[in-house]
Amino acid sequence: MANTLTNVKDIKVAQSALQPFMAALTPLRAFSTNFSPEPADKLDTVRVPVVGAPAQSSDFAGNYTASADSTVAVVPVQLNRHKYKTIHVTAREATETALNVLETLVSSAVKQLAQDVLQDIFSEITAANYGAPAIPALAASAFDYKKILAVREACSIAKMPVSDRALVLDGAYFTSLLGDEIVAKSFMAPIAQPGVVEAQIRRLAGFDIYETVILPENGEKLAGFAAHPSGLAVAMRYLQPVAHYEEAGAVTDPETGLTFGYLRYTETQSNRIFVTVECLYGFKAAIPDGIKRITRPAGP
Amino acid sequence: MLTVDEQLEEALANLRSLEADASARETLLSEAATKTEALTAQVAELQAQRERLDADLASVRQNLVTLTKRNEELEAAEKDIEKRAAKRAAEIVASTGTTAPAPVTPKADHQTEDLVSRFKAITDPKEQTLFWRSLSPQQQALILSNTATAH
Repeated sequence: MANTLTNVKDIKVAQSALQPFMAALTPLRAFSTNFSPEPADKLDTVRVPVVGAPAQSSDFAGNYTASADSTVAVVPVQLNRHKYKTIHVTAREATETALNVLETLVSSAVKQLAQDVLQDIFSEITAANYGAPAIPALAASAFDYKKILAVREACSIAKMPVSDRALVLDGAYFTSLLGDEIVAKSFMAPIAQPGVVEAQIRRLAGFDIYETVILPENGEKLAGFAAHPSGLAVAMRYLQPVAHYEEAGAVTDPETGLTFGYLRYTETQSNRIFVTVECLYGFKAAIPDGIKRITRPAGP
Repeated sequence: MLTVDEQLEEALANLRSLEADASARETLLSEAATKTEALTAQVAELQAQRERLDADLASVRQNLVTLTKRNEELEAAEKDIEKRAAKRAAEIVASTGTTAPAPVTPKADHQTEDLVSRFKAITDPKEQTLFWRSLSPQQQALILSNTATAH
């Protein structure tokens, strides 16, 4: 059975929704991923390649294959998460409004779906999986550039590879960073003021910076984390529907493989059009030193 | 009082002067005659040219009349071909036994047909996204209007 949408109106709606879906899931770049629109069933296992720090080089002893070390480990990730959102419009709503109601509703639903997926994945970032925080717990107001350097130091002590590091921060901590004197000034002259004007910090102290307002505390006051892709493996596939729908297919970004499923069906009794967007995925903690947590102090 | 010799000398001088003037006038008359001959020749040549142009103009007018007549004949023949082609097309359609009208619209140009056929041939979600992104908004609207089915 094909996993491609065929109705052009549905494709237009789905493609419009793909952009917010990708934008909301941007922080997933911090992890090792295996995303694809290939069909899969719930509880299938996907092998996610995790690239960690290579072992020490060997002295040549007549054979290159001696002490061979593959730095690519594979983490099996079970597709045990399935989230969906359903929206509906009546035929009258669809025809009487100049605005494309269905497109707007689906885009909004997909964005929410992506946020829920991301929040679920963040729930894996716990002390049990990744140990003690990188730095002592601190309030958002105390978070500045020097604290980021302290996080960087903790990453280096843990031998986290220097490349591909990312820092995901709760909105309050990110905002505090925007006001930091060094951060604000460092972006002043040579780069077009993204920090002050657009509230964006793309890179800092060797980290790709991501702001999020949906970071769960996980019962441990999680406020952010430094990550290398080796820390967490995430997989995503297309759940092919078993039942018959008027339109069903995978919507995917060719570059990243980020995929959501799109289903459309009509309830004839109420003359309503339903669209369901869904996401089949799974995640698994990989190398413990691949993620270093940042926490807020205990208390209200 | 001039002597006879002196008077004779003066008369001879006057005679020589008069002879020189007469010679000069003769030369001028000769030049004028030459110019007159040249101009007469030019006039003759121009008259010949005018006669040729008159003949050409008459020929062109005759051609124009002929072409106009030919054009009218061709227009009549074209109308006849259209009639015959329409009649033949009707015969062909009738021979198939169909009564459904053909889906011919002003939008059905080759470019749109090509886009729609390429679009329908896609069976991979990645290719579908790539193809959709490669289209301009006008092309997307064109495909939408040519493949529109109700939700």
